[in-house]
Amino acid sequence: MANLKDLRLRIASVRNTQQITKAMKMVSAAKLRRAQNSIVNLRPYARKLLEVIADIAVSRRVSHPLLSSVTNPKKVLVVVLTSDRGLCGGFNANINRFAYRFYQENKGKYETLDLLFIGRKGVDFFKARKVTGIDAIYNLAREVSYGLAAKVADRLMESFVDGGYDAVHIIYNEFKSAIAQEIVCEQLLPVDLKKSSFDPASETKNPFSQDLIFEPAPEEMIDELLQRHFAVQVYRCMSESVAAEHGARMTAMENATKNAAEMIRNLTLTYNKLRQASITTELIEITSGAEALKG
Amino acid sequence: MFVLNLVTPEKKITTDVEVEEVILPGERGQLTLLPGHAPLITTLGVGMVQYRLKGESQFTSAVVSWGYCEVNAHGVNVLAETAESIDEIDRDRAEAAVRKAQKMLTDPGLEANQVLKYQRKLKRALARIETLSQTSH
Repeated sequence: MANLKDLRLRIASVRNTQQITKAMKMVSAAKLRRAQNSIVNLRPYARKLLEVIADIAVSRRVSHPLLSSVTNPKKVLVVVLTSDRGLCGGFNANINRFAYRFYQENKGKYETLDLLFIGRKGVDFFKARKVTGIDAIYNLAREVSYGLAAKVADRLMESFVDGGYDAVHIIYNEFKSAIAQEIVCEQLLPVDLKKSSFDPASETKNPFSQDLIFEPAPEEMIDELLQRHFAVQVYRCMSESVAAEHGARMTAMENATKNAAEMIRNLTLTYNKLRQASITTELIEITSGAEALKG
Repeated sequence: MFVLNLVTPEKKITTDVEVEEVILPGERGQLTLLPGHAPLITTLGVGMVQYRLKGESQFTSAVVSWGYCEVNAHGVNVLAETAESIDEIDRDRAEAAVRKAQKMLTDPGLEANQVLKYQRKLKRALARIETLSQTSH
């Protein structure tokens, strides 16, 4: 059994840890709110952009390499989006395990299945398993800005074009709520217009889409629009992932704080028992000593 | 009913406000939009967006860099890469950016994409300063 001094030190150190986890929880909660706001702010932009693209692509029958999906993709790129930092519960472990399984299962299906990592945790995980990606982007700024996402999107687009891939998928944690994340695998490229709420039948009835003025011509515009759309999608995924990360960290730190409290309670109980036992022993020693002198 | 939405990926400057007139920096020249304008999709350059809210005589300004504008029967949607409303513009920062960009552009050994980058920066900073000086008097 440990002695009193050891226990005192132990309690103090657990209390320190508890303070740290509590502070981290609060920081994550604040960051989560900001991340949530940025997702909400992004939505109108993303929706409008997709509407315009759908408008041009469908009503003007403009085709573009980024829009035409390949029926039998041979070269596929999978982007694994993790975080740079740990201490966020199963956030990174879950996504890495999912991506690893996805990789093992689909390796045989395509001629080439390449991986690209965003976030240090994914890089480390796959390095330990001797799987190398074509590129790794990490040490990103703590706050996700559109500028940053646009740079990442440029690099992805470069890999897509240079590598001659047929499709790009992304695996990331989607933000469901502060306590729930869901791992999703989405197709980033080619751009899938089916997901939009755009309905070509109702649109052609609308007289306005018939005589739209385009300046410059739609063929020139769609390329730029698609690039923007891609950047916005990357930004959305990154924002979702960051929000999910903060949510996961918040939950993990909340649990850690609770566990620390429980531990402190147990240790204090042991400490008090031990203290009482030693007092009792001392008293017995004194009284028996006195008795012995009397005799 | 002529409604203006001015949004960027990161924030909303205005959404669903009723306006009477919108002036935009089109890539091929400035354009003014009034209610009843024909449906239009166009690209925007760097510059000043001005809009007059319904029932007001004063224009409100903002700076945008690069974006799209869609005009339909309901109003104007401006999707800008970046946008700042007038009270968000930092004059000192814009002036510092102008000086820095001008200095960088005098360097003959600058790579082509760097030249483009600084030209864009210069243009953006100048647009900010112009917006500030036009609205201050």
